[in-house]
Amino acid sequence: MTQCPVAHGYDPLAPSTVLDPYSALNQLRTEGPVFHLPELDHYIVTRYDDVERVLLDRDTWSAANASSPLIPVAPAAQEVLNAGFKRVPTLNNADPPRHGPMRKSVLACMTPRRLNALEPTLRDYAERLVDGFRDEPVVDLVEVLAFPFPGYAAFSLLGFPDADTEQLKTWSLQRVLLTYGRLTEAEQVEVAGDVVAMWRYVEDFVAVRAGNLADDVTSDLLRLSVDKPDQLNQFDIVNIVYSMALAGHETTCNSIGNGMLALLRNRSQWDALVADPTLIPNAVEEILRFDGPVINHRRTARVDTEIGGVAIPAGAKVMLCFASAAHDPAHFADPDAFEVDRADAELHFAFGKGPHLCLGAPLGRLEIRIVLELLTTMTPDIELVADQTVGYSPNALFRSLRALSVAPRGLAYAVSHGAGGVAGGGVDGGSPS
Amino acid sequence: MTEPTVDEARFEQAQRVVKLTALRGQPLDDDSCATCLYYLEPGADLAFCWHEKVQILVGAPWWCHHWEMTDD
Repeated sequence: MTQCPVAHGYDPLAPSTVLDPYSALNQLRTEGPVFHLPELDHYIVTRYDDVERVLLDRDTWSAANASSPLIPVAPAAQEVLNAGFKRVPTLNNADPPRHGPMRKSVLACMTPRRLNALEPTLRDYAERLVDGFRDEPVVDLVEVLAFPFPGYAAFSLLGFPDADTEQLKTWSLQRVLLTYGRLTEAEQVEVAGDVVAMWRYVEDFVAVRAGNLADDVTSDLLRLSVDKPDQLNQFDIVNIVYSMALAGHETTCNSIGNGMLALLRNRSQWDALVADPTLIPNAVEEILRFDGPVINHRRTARVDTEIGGVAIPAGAKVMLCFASAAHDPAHFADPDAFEVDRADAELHFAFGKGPHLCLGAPLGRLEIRIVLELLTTMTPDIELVADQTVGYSPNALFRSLRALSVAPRGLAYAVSHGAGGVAGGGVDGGSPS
Repeated sequence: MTEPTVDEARFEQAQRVVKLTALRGQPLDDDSCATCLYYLEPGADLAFCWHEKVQILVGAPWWCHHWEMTDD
């Protein structure tokens, strides 16, 4: 057992790290693959094999802190939360014995087969979105496609009214910042109010649905709770729907944005997809590996243990760096290269692994594939607008691109249609390499 | 008579399935291949798994993260 290295200089929330987490992680993985970060009181795990080991070992590692605030919530904000936020561990942050029944309940209502059956509806919706912007000189791809498409899929699956989409989007962004960002006390208080508002929205929605069942996952969960009241109750369903109201769209939105940035920066890879659509399923996996939607995930040690020869005491919190694992040269050859035909791309952890594998993974993959199939055929000449600096939501968990300016029919078309100043220079920030 | 050798390609293929699916030789809580939708011969000690990512012979008490409950 070795003394645990300490990395005082590393800050996953520093603006430069949020913009490019990969450079620092590559260096840290080489210098000391497991290290302690006193400022956040977390052990950081960077190697693929170590991350995998923790994900698969529920006896040693608890998921209870997976959705806990990274930075302790200020007392004033906690007071706001205490007034109406009643979330309990349910899916990604639940341990046995609660996790199994909750997971099975969702699985019963959201089977991979049911999700795949949504393909025609989803494709039709996405096609209308692309059709709506394909002739515009310049658009923000996150605004016109990367958010609305997965948002539609997740919210309609749950049964939320279309009219509430913008409100849900705003609440979701705030929720991420309170849990995984670094807000001032005043910001925390404000955001805590949004979190409570979202929670109450879900509570009310489930209560109304209970009296008026429909054809959606929330209604199916409610039906299941009638059939198996010992497995699932209405409070559990509120917790599940609240979890899915964020998890159902955030990671897919990120994957679409990050993926298109990677593809358009590596033009030969985009051209390869346009020329050969059979590469698209593997390209989806490479997108999830190369600049995946989740940077870090968390666990707590149940007992005294070790990772990579470093002693970890019981109760210690660890941050599993999915972004680092996906660029571990011990596992992926030339890991910083973006290759849509990479043979082992799907060995990434973008959806986790083992008992907590993301239940929405089939849906996420389906949505990314649909987007690539549509864009390669409907906007094959799409280009990045030059001279843009991409930015990400300032949080330590999700790799959330805030905006991505593209010219759907190419820069020459954009210029000839009045979008001046879009064709010179490069794009700063974002994605590895 | 030639000495038996390891078929490296098939070995790597099997290892890849294990890696990709978190396949293990024990159940997870109450769930195991025996009660999974993709276990082709319910009641058998060993059966073919027809999940697209597995497609190998598996044991009734095993489990992987693609476990899915049967329709009934």
